[in-house]
Amino acid sequence: MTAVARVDTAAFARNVERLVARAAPSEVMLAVKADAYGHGMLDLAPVALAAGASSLAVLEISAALALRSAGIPNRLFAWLHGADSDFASAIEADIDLGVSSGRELQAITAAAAQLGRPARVHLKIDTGLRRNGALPEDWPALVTAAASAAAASRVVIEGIWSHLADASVEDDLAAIGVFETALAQAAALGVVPPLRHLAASSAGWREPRARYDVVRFGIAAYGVSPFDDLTAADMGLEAVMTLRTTVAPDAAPDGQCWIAAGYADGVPLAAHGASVLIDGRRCAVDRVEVDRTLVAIADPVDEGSPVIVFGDPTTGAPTAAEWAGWASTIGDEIITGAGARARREVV
Amino acid sequence: MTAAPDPRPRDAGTGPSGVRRTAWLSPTAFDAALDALVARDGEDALVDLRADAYGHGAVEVERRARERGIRRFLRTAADARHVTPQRLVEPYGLLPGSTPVLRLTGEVIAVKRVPAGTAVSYGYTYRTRGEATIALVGLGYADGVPRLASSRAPVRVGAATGVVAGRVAMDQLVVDLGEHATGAQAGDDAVLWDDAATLSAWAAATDRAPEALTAGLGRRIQRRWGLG
Repeated sequence: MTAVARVDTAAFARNVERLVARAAPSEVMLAVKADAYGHGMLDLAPVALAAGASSLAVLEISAALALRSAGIPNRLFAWLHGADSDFASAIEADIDLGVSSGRELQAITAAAAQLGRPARVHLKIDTGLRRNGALPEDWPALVTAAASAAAASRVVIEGIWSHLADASVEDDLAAIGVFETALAQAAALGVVPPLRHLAASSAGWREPRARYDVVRFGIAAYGVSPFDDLTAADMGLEAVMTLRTTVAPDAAPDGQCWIAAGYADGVPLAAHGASVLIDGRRCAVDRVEVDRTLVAIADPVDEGSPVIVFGDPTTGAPTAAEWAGWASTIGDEIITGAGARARREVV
Repeated sequence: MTAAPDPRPRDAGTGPSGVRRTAWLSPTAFDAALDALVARDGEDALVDLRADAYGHGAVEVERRARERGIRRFLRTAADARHVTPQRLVEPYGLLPGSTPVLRLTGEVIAVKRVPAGTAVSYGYTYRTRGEATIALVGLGYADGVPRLASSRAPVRVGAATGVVAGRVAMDQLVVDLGEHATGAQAGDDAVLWDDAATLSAWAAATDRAPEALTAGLGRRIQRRWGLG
């Protein structure tokens, strides 16, 4: 055994139920991008829907098509498109498409015209994050173009949306203001879609004014808090992923042992002050190599003894959030990285 | 241009269509490194295949190495016990001053012209100094681009080299190309690293060895052995 990322689907389901209750009456679109944050998209998508999420957000059309092929009938939202994105397949599979620019709208309407079937689109306004989405000065032109495409039955405008920067309460309120202006401008142009969505985990939990019709929860569902001042346990959320390994047979210096997982298995690099759990005790991490990690031990440990790198805090193990603190990052990077590298075991 | 088969199971939903993320593998650089190893070490020349050949794709690396006469391959920590760490990463051109076999590029998804003082990405931790062209690139920490690169590491689009502007997100990063880079457009390639200098800048910015960077690259990235 090297390392196993154990995914607890029951804990995930309880987290989703909690978020669904929190967001009500707004609906929940659950983010399963990046292979469900490393947990396995095809394993968790049905669990999320059974637990009350009404739709799923992926990143790219290809992931949405994989969910359709797996028999998921719900609304699927794909919003990052490249020059080679396959809009025709997306339209045929009833995938909802985020649209950030006139250029993207043009490519989508061209595909729709060829198929003789409208695309379902959500127009994106950039409310401050400065990633994709139309800048406020370009917004009326995008809405106008989408409205004429709708009149020509090339698109059905399903939503207006954006991403918050989660910089501060004031910054998020300013972004909500930009979003409100964008909604009002669209309404003045005759575009009033059924779904307005802005909030992800952070504002979805804390800012009722950002919830609108749908909240796109991601990280919170995977049992990691999006906040600095509130733990997952404070929010009533459970750890979903546990990264385990064992004590390796390799000879180690006195007072140390090797564990059989390294950075290629998802043990985070560049961490300072990190520890793992062996035999119920925290052991300080000394050095992370490609496929093993050197840790300090107070008493001798047996080869093959179980090691928890991160997981459920009630067992004494470090959480992904604790590792994030040690590695100057966020829990999202810890779980996504481990889930993609270690062997996954879904229970 | 031939695409090598990726030996690892592909993530659900990362078919060929979508955002372009490519690890270009140079046969020229790889063969040169291997020939130098064989010339120096003879039958002891070895290639470390751990971590999927440090992200280069172990199946194709082993095949090509066998073609160059390599017979020794390391697959576990135990295999590597008596080998100096430098020898392990030599075949990949990862020692200082060598030519890296792997070059990492992403796709520019969107380009914006923004005024001075514009905040960029999560937390608004970065603001543009002057009026600037910013480019959204479809690579993030889910692809193995460490979040520690935020506001630190270099990215090139066309002739302009900028710095990652603000936080690297799960699937995206923004690069500030400065005031004069007006030619960048959606669909362009963004180059994160393609030589010893850029790779070592990325390693320094993310507080890890170059082989940890390449080994960390995610499954959405296509490995492609090129012609050069």
